[in-house]
Amino acid sequence: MNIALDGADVRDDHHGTFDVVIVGSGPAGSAVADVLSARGLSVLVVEDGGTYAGAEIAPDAWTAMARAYRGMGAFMSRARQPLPVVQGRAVGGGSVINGAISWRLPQDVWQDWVDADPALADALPWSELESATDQIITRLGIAPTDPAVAGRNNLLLARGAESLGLEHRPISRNVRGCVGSGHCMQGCPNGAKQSMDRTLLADAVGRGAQVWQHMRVTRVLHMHGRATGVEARAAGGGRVRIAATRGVVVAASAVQTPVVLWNSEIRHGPLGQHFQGHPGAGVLARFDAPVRCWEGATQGHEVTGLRRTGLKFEALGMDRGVLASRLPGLGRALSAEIDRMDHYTSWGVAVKAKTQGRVTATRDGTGVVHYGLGPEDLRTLARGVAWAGRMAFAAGAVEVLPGVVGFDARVTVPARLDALEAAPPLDPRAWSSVVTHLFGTCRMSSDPARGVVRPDFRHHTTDRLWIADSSVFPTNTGVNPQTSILAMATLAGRAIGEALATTP
Amino acid sequence: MPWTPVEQAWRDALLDATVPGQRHRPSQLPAEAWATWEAGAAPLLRVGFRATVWALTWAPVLRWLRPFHRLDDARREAFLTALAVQQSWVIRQLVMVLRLVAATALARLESR
Repeated sequence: MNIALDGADVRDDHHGTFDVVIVGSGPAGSAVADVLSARGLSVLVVEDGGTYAGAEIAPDAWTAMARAYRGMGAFMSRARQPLPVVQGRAVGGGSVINGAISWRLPQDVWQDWVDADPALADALPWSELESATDQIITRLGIAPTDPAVAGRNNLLLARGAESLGLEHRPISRNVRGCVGSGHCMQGCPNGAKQSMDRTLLADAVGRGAQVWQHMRVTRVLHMHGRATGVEARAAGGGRVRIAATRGVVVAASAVQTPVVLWNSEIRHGPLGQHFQGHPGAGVLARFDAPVRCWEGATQGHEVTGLRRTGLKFEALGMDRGVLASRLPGLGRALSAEIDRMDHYTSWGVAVKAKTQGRVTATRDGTGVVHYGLGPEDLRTLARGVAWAGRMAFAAGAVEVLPGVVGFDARVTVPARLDALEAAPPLDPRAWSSVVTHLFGTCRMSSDPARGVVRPDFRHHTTDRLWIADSSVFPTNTGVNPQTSILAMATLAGRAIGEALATTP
Repeated sequence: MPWTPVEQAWRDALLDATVPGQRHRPSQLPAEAWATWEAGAAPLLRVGFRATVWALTWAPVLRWLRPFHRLDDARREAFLTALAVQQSWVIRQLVMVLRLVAATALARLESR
């Protein structure tokens, strides 16, 4: 995909003018760019990260995480137990390094949103969301994982869930021609993943949209209550000012979007509040026969039978280095575990957490996530870890490693998992979790006191400013949100296009 | 701030002892890989890893009157074995960072 300007080469002041400037090239920014470029508008997408595709794809987590993850995957929340907040940082955003998992927005989640704010039913009709989702499914080739490329890590999860009578299924993913190389999290080396840089953003560029990379937008420029452009800092050191004659769309994620608005002194409403995510934990289990969990589709099977209770399970194939770092011991003990590492399955437990946090900005404009898990979510997580262990035993595991401090390091009988569920450690420091899928910091509401944007994605107080990413979601979704974000952003793009068609 | 040669030697001694007997040793990582790491890692991870190297290099002085890189293999192993079962949250964070860097370094060497 053609990059019109690389901020690494921009050492002096630079200027530009476009109809619409979009901040962020992840799924939300790409979907809006796709819609608006199709309407003939001149569109610029500004991205903090760089291209990460083709020959740049690294075979190992060390390099991949340094190049395409924010803070190498170690951007930590502030809490009693800081949690890594995992975000992509590349042209295409998280779609480049995620597991390509696709879920429609669950209708019960949409209904919760509408129950809390009935105005959303008119602005986000279920039928339009479904229609937009159908288009995305077709464009991205979303389909259930082919068992031929699933690999044993996925197939054993299916076996365990089936044995316990839990609803499960192959994960629908946005891939074409996946060969199961197990490298989703490092970027697809075969170009099979239909990430934004290969699909919607590339389509927009084909229609004349531009992408400027390695530029961090520091603030939205505005005058007399109207957004007029953005200011950015290029990686090469230059200061960049871009005029947006028709409007600005911020789609920089639930962490960066509120920070950009805060730094712009556009601080209306509960900006940065109501941060939500899907904290998760990994569970390892050892089998007699080799599993080689780094082979096959990285995330090819999921267990949905407990979704209504706030839990979801996914196979989570890992780079060997990341897997090895989660094994117990140090020195010769760790080396012995590494030698038999091919016998471990790696599965993830994701929680539809109730805990809410917030995002603030430091004086130098950096985002800070204040988020830690409360007791209710820890109980849910414990229940999830216990169920993952039960599935492992049901699939034939000889031992399960729950990864919970203060509990058995190795569980060899399923009954011990009942004890974990019945009396889990409620000290958050006992758990090793990460947070993915971030929501809510610029949430949508028809009530200006309760929301940052209106139901049509327009900012409540600043004209010609829209927000299109998952920061507008009123709640977390309990499922992988990429397709929901794409559908919502498609509706945002249409709303913006219609608004611009009726204003000079 | 770049690592001094002395700090690099401490770091390499700790990483190699963390995953001994493998086909590769983390100390074989090229400087270019460390430059990539320094450029990409979050500030907290960079600072945390350096603090880990300092803390674990000098902690053995309390027991053996020598820093980690001056211990023989048996004492290095004894130190790490004791460290791995510590319940203190702070020590567990140090161990986690050490294990993460050593294991991903090993995987990087094996992937090329």
